[in-house]
Amino acid sequence: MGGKIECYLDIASYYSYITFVQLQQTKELLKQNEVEVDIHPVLIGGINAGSGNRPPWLVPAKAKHSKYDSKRAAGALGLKNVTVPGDLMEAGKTLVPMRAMTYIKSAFPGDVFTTAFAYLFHSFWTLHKVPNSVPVLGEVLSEIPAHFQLDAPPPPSPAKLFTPEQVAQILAGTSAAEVKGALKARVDEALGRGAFGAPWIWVTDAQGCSEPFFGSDRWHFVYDFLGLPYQQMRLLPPQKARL
Amino acid sequence: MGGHIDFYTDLNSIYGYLGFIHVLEHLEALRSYGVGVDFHPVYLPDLQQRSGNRVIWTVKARQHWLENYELPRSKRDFGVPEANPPDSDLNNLFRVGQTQLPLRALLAVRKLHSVRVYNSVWHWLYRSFWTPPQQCIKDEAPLREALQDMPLDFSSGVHDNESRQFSSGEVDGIISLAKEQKTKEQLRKNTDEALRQGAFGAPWMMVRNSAGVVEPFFGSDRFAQMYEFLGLSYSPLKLLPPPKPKPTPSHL
Repeated sequence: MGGKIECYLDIASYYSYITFVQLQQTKELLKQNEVEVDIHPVLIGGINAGSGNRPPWLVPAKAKHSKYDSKRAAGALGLKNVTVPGDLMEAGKTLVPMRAMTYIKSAFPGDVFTTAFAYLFHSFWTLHKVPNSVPVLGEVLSEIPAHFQLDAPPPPSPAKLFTPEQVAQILAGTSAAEVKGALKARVDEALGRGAFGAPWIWVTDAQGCSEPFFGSDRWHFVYDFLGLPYQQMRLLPPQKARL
Repeated sequence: MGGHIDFYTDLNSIYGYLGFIHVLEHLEALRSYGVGVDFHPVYLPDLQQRSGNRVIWTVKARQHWLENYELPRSKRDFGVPEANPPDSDLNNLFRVGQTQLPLRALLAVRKLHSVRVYNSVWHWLYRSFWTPPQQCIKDEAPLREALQDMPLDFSSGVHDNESRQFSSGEVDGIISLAKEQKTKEQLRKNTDEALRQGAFGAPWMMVRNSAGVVEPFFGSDRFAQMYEFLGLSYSPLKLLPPPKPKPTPSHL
């Protein structure tokens, strides 16, 4: 029981999206287990540059295989219509939107931050509206429904998450020195904590010990580390068909 | 119901070993669904090089995470916490990992003995390579010794410590067939086949479901997705609520 999960996520990182959705889906149970969750916007480009790592999909056979793996990861979460928005190298230049997310986290309540992050992931991977320039980001931020949820149909009410003034405020934030500095500090923090990719997951247990986890497929190790109760993945015997 | 798993792996791959352990432990359970399994040796350094997945540079942070966190956790998870290659220096894995001879020996066993024995030899050679005291079975003398020492019915888990799987004549037969040109070619053909299917590492699995659809799976951490694809019943990883505290007895 207890502890803290810090996740460094970038919208251009597919498995960051998967991790984000996994966290939304286990939010209640983590809360019941008294585990705090803190999501940090980060730059996967910055983490790669700082660690000397290169995206795995630059190996052609891995890129080909990723079509299968990514489809299955999304399927396991009930996430639909998720595909690569064109040239991922180009789309990976997420300085502007990740500065925006950094600003939103500092200036708005937690649920607004989460809703905005969800929509930015959705815009990138499903709408294929890559918000990497100020004009496109402005459009995307203005569109976000007030109660946007990834696994729910679009709400009937036209209420938006941000007013036009708030959108302008966020766009201004993307060029503010302290916001640029804060995002750079997060990249440095992730690198200092051993990151070479995203999602980078830094977990601290109830006694204050911390360990790194990488990827959206190591949650059982996170649960072990935090001493949380969980049901292991298990093959079952063939279920008898109901007559 | 029904389906098939073609499992491609090399002895020098730790994730190949972990994936192999999982599939071996589930052979019977898979059979109960009509899912058959075949293990195929491939030469991993060749596979990596030719698929462009040859790591010629090392990312220090990745190495650190692998050695200090990911591998210890994974090895514990699969029940082989002490697994290490012969000569623990990961930088020497290149040298001790030149496993062509034992892979060819496996092909020879497949030809000369039953599938059950063949699967057991995979298990035995994996153990010999990875668990203390690690044997450098890429070399002929340690490989002969390992085959000679292999207990009868090794995979059954019941050993009388006396009976051996192979006579010395049978070990000679395996080693001599392993060295023949046709066996060398078979290993190369296996590696070619895996590459053709899109493999870039081990373990690589080509899985066919009951509808006849074939899809690739990679790694020792995708079995839930494989069971999903095969239409098998499984319970997924699930976080649970904290246990309820016991109610204190009320006093009248």
